[in-house]
Amino acid sequence: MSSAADTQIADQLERIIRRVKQSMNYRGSYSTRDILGSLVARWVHSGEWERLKELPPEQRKLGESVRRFILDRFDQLRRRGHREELDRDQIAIPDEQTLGELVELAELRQWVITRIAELENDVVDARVRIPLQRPSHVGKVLALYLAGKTQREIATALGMSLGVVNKRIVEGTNYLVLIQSIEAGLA
Amino acid sequence: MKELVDVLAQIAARPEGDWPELVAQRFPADAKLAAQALIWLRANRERVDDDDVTPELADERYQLGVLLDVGATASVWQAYDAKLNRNVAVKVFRGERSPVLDEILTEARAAAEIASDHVVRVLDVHDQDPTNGGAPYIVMELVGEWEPRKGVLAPGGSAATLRPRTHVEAVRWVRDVARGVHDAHLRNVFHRDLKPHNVLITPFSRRARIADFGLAIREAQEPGALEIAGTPGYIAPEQAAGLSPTLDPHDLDDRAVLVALDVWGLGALAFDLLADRPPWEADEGFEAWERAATAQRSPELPREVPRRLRRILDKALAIDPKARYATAGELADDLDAYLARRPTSHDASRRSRLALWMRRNPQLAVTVGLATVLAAISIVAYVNVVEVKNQRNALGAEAARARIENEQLSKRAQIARTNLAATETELATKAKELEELRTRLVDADKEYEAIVAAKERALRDADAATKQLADQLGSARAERDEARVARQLYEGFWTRARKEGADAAKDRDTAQKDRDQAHKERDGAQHEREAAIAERDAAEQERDKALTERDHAEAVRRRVEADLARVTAELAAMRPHPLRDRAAKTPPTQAQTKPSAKGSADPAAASTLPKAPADAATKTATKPTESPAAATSAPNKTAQKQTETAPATSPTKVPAKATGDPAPLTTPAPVVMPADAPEPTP
Repeated sequence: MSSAADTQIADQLERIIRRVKQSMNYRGSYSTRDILGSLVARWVHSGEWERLKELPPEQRKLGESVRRFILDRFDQLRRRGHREELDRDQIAIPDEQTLGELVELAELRQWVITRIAELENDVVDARVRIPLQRPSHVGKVLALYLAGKTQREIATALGMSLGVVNKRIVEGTNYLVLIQSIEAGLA
Repeated sequence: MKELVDVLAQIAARPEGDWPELVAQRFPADAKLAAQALIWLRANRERVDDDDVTPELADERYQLGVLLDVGATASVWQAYDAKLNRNVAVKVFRGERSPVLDEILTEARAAAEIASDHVVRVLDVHDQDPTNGGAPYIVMELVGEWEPRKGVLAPGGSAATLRPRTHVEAVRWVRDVARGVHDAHLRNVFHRDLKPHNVLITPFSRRARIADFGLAIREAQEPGALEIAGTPGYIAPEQAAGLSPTLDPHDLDDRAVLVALDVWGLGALAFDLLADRPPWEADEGFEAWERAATAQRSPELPREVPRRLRRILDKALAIDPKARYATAGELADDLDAYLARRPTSHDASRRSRLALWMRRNPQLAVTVGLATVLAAISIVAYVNVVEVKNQRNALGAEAARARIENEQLSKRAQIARTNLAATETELATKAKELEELRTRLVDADKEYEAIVAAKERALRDADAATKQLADQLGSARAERDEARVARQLYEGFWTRARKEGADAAKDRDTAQKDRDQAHKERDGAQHEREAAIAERDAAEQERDKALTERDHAEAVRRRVEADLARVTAELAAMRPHPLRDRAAKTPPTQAQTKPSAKGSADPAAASTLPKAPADAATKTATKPTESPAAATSAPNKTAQKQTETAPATSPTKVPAKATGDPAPLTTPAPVVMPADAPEPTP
């Protein structure tokens, strides 16, 4: 394996690790970007993304579809709440590239949520050769972590020490990174 | 399995550059496993660098010890300040997830600006670029207390983990936090992210302090799109909908908006501590944000929350920012009043204030209550004694008056008894008189009944006579018809018929005389009736006299009056009719001649009549039967001519002249042909 190939693989692996961790970020406090990210996740859930993926990349017009979805959603909220503050003209919609990243993150987050749910049910991906101790524990800790709980709160909620919680989070994150790498053909 | 994990742990402890070789040595026959092991080690390294490995700080003054908590962007460590020999907390921001340095500085300055016992103090900040040397960090006061027995410093925890034991403790925490927030507002610092996670509780005294001013603002930002910041479960509705980033903490109107945000946050904090859930509860943060952004009503507190506290929190959690407390200090004051059982801004009525005073001063309230009751009892007893005394005096006077009245009454009773005896004697006398009057009255009634019976008999006789006259009239008409036939048949015997008419005239005169006689008899009967009426009047006068003599005879008088009324009515019914009275006065001799002439059609009626009139009737009836022979022997045209015209005029004129009473007597007139009727003029 050449050094260039090694570097490319290392970069790809680095990117996977960063994306997985980013998608699992502690989300206690929200910013405008978090709200937009959640809206994009809704857009991914709506099936529109699956439809667009079947089109050629030049016909997808991802940004337009996401933008329309977000603005429609704001309109719905304004109608439901009768709140004048929700002015769609004052909502800053990210550019095409940022929306693409948001879509990717939302998709990845959905994937992570599905894997964590499997772990909670003691289901481990058979392709993973590194063993995972107590998958259900890992799944519960990761689920609370995704819900925005701090490690101290998770420890209190599950009756664990702070160190064990941290260890479970590390194990779970490694497991998810490994599956992503396998799906990317790195392992 | 365990062995593989141990092997990876051993490799991880070695330098990263040696990992591929070590992995290849350990797993020579399994390339896939080796690749996975390398990826695992790389991923593991990233996490280790972030969290559980103690980061190296640029300043050696702070020696990190125990990891206290890990958040989204930073981990918090308990550290030792080697320069001041004290324990502190250090918030170390992670490399790639760290906010920009400006934000870190803003957070540190915001917290350092505030001087309050209820805000975690910031002691130092390291804002060097992470790429140049270590991670940026903020040194803060350690929220911890020395454990009295072991002498160990115990760190506190957030209100999200150390939950309040009672609702009073929750209120106390919120009150302390509200004081801290108010102090921050006085320095133009607005937190914007109040929630249990950002409230630290000391482990033993359990006092609350505000931490994490990461979203706090001190200055207006650059103009731009609407900004949403906060935790979805606790976010204020207007903040969820987005606020302008140009809100200036120094502007009066903008300050009101920012203060309302934190007042809502305090209400949301109290809601979570009391209800054990955030105000906008949802499975996902985005759903909670949606609920907050479209909320029409405030979140509903549990029923267990006391009513007074609920009113305070409802005001803090009002959807309309203007309806909330104007400052966090006002909310703190109300919570303070609630804890001290003093009237809050909602307790305006005197009743509630009195109830609170009693709860606040139970012993004094009981004492005052007892004193009031005793005083009331004393007053009531005194009033009762005075009243009883007055009643006793009044009763004595009344008894004396009663004795005097009793004596007077005894005298009056004696007199009354004497009068009563006299009255009884008089009453007996009157009773006897009454009895006599009753006897006389009975006699008068009997006499009156006899008179009435006689009158009835007379009336019945008159009716029978009238009937007979009617019968006679019918017979006379029949005879008249027969006479007409006979006149037509026996025109020649008109002379004899005239003669017979003369006889009939005589008979008519006789009948007139009889009628006059009957008139006289009628007058006599009228006199008798008037006499009877006079007698009745006399009897009535007697009765009236008897009735007025004694009141006790009232009942008798009424009965007599009733009888008299009935008799009077009957008399009125019996009052004489002209035709009936005239018929009654007609002598039976003339009245019964015509019926007997007709024959024995009514033998019963005939048998009741006298014999003489019956003979006379027989004579008049037999005359036409004897004349046909004479009529045939002496016919005369002139006479016949006269007899043709005579029946048409004579029956109506003659009786009218004779009686002077045309109406009733026109019918019997044709019975006989008048002999002296004038000849019709040609």
